[in-house]
Amino acid sequence: MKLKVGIFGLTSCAGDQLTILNCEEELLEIFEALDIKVFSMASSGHDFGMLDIAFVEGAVVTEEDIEVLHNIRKNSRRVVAIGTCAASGGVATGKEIMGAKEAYQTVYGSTMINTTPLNKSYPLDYFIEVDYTIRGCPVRESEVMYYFKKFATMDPQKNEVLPYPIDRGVKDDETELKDQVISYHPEKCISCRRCVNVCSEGLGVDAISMVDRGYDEKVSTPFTKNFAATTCISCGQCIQSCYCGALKEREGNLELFEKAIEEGRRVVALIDPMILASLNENLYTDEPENTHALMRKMIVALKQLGAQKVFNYAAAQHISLFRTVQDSLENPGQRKILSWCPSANFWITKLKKDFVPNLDLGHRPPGIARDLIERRYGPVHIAMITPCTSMKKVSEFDAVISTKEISRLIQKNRINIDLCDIEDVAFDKFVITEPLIDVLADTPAIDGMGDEVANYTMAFKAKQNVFHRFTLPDGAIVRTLDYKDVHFKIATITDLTKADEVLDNINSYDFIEFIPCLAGCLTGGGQYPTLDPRVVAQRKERMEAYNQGSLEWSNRILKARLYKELQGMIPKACEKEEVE
Amino acid sequence: MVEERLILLRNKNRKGYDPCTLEDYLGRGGYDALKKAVEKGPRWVINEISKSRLRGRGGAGFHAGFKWESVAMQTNKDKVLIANFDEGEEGTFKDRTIVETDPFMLIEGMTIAAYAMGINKAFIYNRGEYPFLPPVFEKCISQAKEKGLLGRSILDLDFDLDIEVVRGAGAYVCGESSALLQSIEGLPGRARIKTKRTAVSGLFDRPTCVNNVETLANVPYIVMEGGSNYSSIGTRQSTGTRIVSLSGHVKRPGAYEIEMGKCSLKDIIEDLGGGVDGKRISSVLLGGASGSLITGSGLDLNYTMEDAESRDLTLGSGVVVVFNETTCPVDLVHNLLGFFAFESCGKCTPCRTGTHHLVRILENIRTGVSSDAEMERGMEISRVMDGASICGLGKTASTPYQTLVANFKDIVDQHIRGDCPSNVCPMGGENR
Repeated sequence: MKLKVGIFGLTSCAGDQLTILNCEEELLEIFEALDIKVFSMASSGHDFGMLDIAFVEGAVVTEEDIEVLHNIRKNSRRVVAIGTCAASGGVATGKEIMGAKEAYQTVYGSTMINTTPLNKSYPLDYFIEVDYTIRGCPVRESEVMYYFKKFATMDPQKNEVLPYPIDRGVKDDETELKDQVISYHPEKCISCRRCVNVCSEGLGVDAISMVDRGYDEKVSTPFTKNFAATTCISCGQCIQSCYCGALKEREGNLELFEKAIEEGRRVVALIDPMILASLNENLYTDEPENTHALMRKMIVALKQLGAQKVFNYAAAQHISLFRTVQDSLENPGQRKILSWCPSANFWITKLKKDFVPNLDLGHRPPGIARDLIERRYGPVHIAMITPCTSMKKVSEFDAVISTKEISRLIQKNRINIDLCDIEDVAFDKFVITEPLIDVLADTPAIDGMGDEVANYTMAFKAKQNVFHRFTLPDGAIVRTLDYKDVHFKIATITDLTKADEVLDNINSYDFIEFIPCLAGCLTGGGQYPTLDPRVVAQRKERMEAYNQGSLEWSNRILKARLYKELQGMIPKACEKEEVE
Repeated sequence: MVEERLILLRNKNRKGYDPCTLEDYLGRGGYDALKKAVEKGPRWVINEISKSRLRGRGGAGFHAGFKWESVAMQTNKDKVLIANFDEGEEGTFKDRTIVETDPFMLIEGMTIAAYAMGINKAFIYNRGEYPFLPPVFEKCISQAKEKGLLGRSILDLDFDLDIEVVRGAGAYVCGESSALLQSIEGLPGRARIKTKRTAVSGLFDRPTCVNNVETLANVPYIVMEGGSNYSSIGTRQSTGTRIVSLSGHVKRPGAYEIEMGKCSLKDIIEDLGGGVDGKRISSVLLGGASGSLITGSGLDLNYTMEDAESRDLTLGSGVVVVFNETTCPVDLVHNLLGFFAFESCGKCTPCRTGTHHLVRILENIRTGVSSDAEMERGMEISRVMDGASICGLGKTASTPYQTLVANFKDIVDQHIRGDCPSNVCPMGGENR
């Protein structure tokens, strides 16, 4: 049977379709070997049914394009992006710089066109999964012909042409996803070395490097081992620094989530409020700046997707804080290195083995969350929605969905979150039914864990406001807190290359926290990629607006008191270790 | 009739002379130069080198005296001297000839250079394809150490020098000074983006002087005879002698030391090489793989740096490869570009993709499916490579292509029309 092929054009100059038409010598052969169902340029029919392969050219710049694209994906087994516009957004991305309105006027003048333009231009893989990418403006004839011939004779395996150079680890599907969170697509790589520089000079991790010489040069791990076997700490900063989408998070978590819903399992979602930092850059909504409303819309959207309950991950973080503070008051100076960040823990266990005894792994928010949810709701499938790629390695969660992926999931299921009714919508409660403790569940945390531990310890002991809020600066910072008989020295390190100074004098500190990502969770591996300081500042502002009021000092004292009073009601979490 | 002027290779073929024995070298006036240098002081040595107007023999022709002065100026105590013995350029074998004729001359030259610049650590970067030479160096260095001419307190002075032999792994790009430094540091041999000069921050961020073997081997002679005497050999801008690596279709290929300005390219090929081996000269590759390809009519070139520059050519590292009528220039350049595409380290895009594209264009020309427009596109690519590459490899890799299009336009046109005059390229005729 002939393969059914469709060739589509979104917003573009149609130069790539023209390239295909220009292959005069081979054109007849192709039409004989393949069943071309749709060819936007050569025919006008649009009734195509199910396709085997869809070649799509052009960028996504209007709402209508998104609709067409989803339709294509739904009806095709393979999608191949052809041309620069489809691969990376093309020249239309320029309207992001000059402003959508001005760009429209420059191009079309006063003519009105019956479309709903997006404020940006997007590559195809922003909305759907793309199987192959052929770059070029226009694409080379021979390259297109290669794919045509390949498809005509057999159905190619993914990345068969340019073999995936990094070992994928164990074969079992679910363990494989936990094994390695980063994937590399050499056909997209332009060898700019930003990822390698971030990994070696920015973080001092050296998990990836350029291998081979000349035209064959590519990014790889040492001896092409899988990432779990290298020094990789899964921070995802290489994904953040990649301009062309060659480094991505491993796909598959979305499928796990959808599969669990299909199978009728009890699915609950956990949202880390930090996703709000870049969610509006991903998700097209009417009022992207209203973060509280956006969060509530997300809760509704997740319930529409099939999640039975939606919880706030920050609540688990706060319970973790209380327990850590209690521990440190009972046994001071035992465990000095603490952070919520899994990738900081990987960094210690993989690269600073001498300091593993100092690492506090006792009260981990993932363990607490799973424990509390399962106590109340029985066995559940937990989907974690987080800006963090290293979270994907945490065994407590069944599916870990990044900020980028959640917006793709929402677009894919055609949920218009602007139509979500957000009246009377709030996070579900973990365990406690007392109305007073609601304040625990609605509090997000932006500060580092070390700092918060110190703050809460003071709240537990001193019950008075003695210091102001702390913001994360560049590199390493050391703070001292003194009040009556309580003295703390806290180091927060956001530049791992400066960590050695602090680790050498570990005894002089009470708490040390590491944050591998370059601007904390604001540029976590799952956020929309940017290392632009202006964008980071915007994200920070947005998060601070969301947190406003909840981080007041009185709030902390109130929570500390509440916690003391209600101590018996929160069960002790089972202690699960998440680091190998 | 041109004859050789033997300065560096003066002990070539001398009966009863063992190059690896220090006694033989001392018997022929060896290490007198070091004694004289020590007597006069470091300042004097650098002045003499500057006066001699000795230019680097690696290809770029940088003034050695200037380089030495800028390293000597550095106040950092941990300076490094490196003898670049990674002669990877196609057709070059002059450094190997020097080392096989008189290894002590290089070691003495390095000792004097180190003394003049206040250096205590030196490296010889041995080419990966010469695995038989490190043992020679080790033998010589141990003999010199026994005699107190190397190691601690040389000549009972407060001057130490340790020479270490480092073996390359066979990458062409490691002949480029910054890639060479990467290689010695234990990193992959890829060129650095030069934000600082090597003389300020080179190997392990120390002030570093990288000199070609031939440059350093000239030093003892200059110290013995004096800089102004040396500069009287050759022409004003190209002083001293030059070892020409003559190979290809000639009757007597080999390394010949000639005085610069005393002979033309034709003299070298006819008198020293014994003439072309075949009917006629079709092309001559001057300066190695990254050098220029010239026609037989350009052989009247006087063999000096300034004459070459006036014709937009380069002497490079002294390579002259002669090709007779059985070699097709297009095929030859295709081969050379293939070499560069293979050896490009891949760090910068112009070189990584430029070499690749030039090979494809040449492949098309070679098989007769090209066009004038494609050839012009190749010229455009080579201009970008010249301007935007970060190291010498990318900057010069397109020279063979450019000179092919400039000097052999008729032959390239014939190829585009589908005919190879030498019947070498795989198009039409018996080769199809």
